[in-house]
Amino acid sequence: MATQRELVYILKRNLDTSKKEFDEFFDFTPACYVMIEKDGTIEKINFAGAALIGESRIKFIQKNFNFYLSSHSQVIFKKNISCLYETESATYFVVEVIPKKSARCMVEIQATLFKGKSLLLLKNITEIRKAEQELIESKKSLELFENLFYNTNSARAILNLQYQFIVFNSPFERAFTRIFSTKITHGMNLLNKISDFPEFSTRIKVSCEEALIGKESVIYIENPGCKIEAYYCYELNFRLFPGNLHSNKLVIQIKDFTNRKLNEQKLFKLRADISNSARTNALGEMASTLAHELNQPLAAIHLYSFSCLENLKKGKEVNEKLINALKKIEILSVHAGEILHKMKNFMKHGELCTEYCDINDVIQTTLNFLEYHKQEFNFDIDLYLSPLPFLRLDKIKIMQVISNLVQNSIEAFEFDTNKKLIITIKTRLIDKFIKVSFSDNGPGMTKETIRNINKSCYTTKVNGVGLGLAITRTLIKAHGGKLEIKKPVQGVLIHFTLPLPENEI
Amino acid sequence: MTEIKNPINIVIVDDNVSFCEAMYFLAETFDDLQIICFNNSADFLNAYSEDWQGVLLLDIFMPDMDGFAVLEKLKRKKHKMHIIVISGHAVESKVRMYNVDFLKKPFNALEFLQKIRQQSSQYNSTESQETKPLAQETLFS
Repeated sequence: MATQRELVYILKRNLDTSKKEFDEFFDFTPACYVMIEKDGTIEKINFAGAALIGESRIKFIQKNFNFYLSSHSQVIFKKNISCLYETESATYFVVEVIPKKSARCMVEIQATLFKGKSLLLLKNITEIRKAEQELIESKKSLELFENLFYNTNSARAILNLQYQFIVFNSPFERAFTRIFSTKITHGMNLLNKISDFPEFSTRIKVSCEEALIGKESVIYIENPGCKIEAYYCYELNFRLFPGNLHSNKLVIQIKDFTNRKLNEQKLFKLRADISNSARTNALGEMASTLAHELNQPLAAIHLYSFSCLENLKKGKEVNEKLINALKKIEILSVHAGEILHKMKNFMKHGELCTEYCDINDVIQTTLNFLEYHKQEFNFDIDLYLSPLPFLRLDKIKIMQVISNLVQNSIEAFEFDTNKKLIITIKTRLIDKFIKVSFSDNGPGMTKETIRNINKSCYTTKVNGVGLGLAITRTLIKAHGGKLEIKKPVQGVLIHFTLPLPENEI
Repeated sequence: MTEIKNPINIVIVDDNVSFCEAMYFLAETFDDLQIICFNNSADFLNAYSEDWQGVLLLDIFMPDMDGFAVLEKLKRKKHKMHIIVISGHAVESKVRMYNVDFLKKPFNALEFLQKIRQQSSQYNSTESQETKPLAQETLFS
């Protein structure tokens, strides 16, 4: 009997050990288990399960599992548990668990009926759901990218390391065909295809190589010197396929700059026309003064030649007086020619016709030309001219500068008042430059004028083109000098510098 | 050589020396012209006499005192001269306000001579009709 009792004892001990092992297994298994009553009351929960919900195991006892679920999930949970009891077959569902101490998570529950209770196997699928969501987003992005890539007006193509076309969209195909007069196909080698265009192929090859080492590069291809209808200008942008530093793909983007370039050319032409017209206007001013000079020799030439002919008609012998008259004609015609030559040079773009001269003399000569303004306007010009070395100057252009500055003062002055306009011109030698200062007692410039003064086409005059000062500045710049506008307390102060010739310094 | 009875007296006020010299040469070529030049308005006005007859060729743009100032002064004085303003500038409309002639420089010498000869003969015939003796104390006598 003892043996039987002993056997029972051993069996009981084995059973206890198994139960203990089972409990330990239940408690410590990495799978998350929860045992609940039909109404959701937690009867048992293992460590992994408690960790998932984020509470100490003891705190779960007699609490309702619903307590840890979002309101929406509570409905799902109740529905599935009642379904489990009805069908007595395992059920799977997903709920949103709101742990006490950590962020809410998505949990997949496998519920099975176990001795009239529900055994729930919980599985945290937050990360999986997140990954799934990301995958969906990625697919959408890809779809969008493909949509954009193929349906955009922006011409793009992707090439591999061997410069073969992997993908390209139709705008790229069109632009490529227009430039290289050839169709592209997938797998086609770019460099082989454009080898017939030596003027571009080298540049494109260099740009591709630069792009592959991560250096974005841009080249322009245009069809200059042709009719507007046939003109094109494309910007080719080469860069590494984005997103991966070790990308082995190349993106070529072609932008159509044709219209922009044509507009720029139109604008440039318009500006040139304006500038030309302004120069013609400026010339008009100069021409009226130079015409006076030109008329003098012409009038004298005419009188001499008329008189010479008359003498010869009368049968008078060729005498010293006649020869002197003819010599005068010669001298005067040369003089007239010089005047015309200078006017012609003035019309030419930016060409300086320099000669050694004294800036003081040039100023005096210009002021003689401007004398006739005194008929209309009440003004005086005070001169403070220091003795100066000779400079290489284009006399006509410097005369234009002085004339422009004086006229600016005259035009800005309100002559209605009793005040007399006094323009002061000073010259002096400063280091390597000769400085010519202009000032007046006029109304000066407003802040807005000062701000805009350097812009071409800005004018305060009703009929002005706004290029007078721009031309003046350009002429000074062409002489290697600089024009500066200051804002004194009263009037205007403008000075320009002219460099001494190299050998004088 | 026969002496010209009534030479045309031409007074020129012009700062341009070349023009004045050329006018002298013209006067040497034609026996019926007598010329005197002033290179500035002040010298002319100082020398001016109301008895002067003939033609006054007056330039407009001159330093110090211009042709318009001379016209203003002559307006206030009596004068028997036929005034012709000569200028390369487009000042004709303003000049016409002084009721004087205008010639644009450079002018046609032949037309100029015809004009002054015609004007002189008209003047002389008027003078002879009125049996007025010619002013003896002219600058050119």
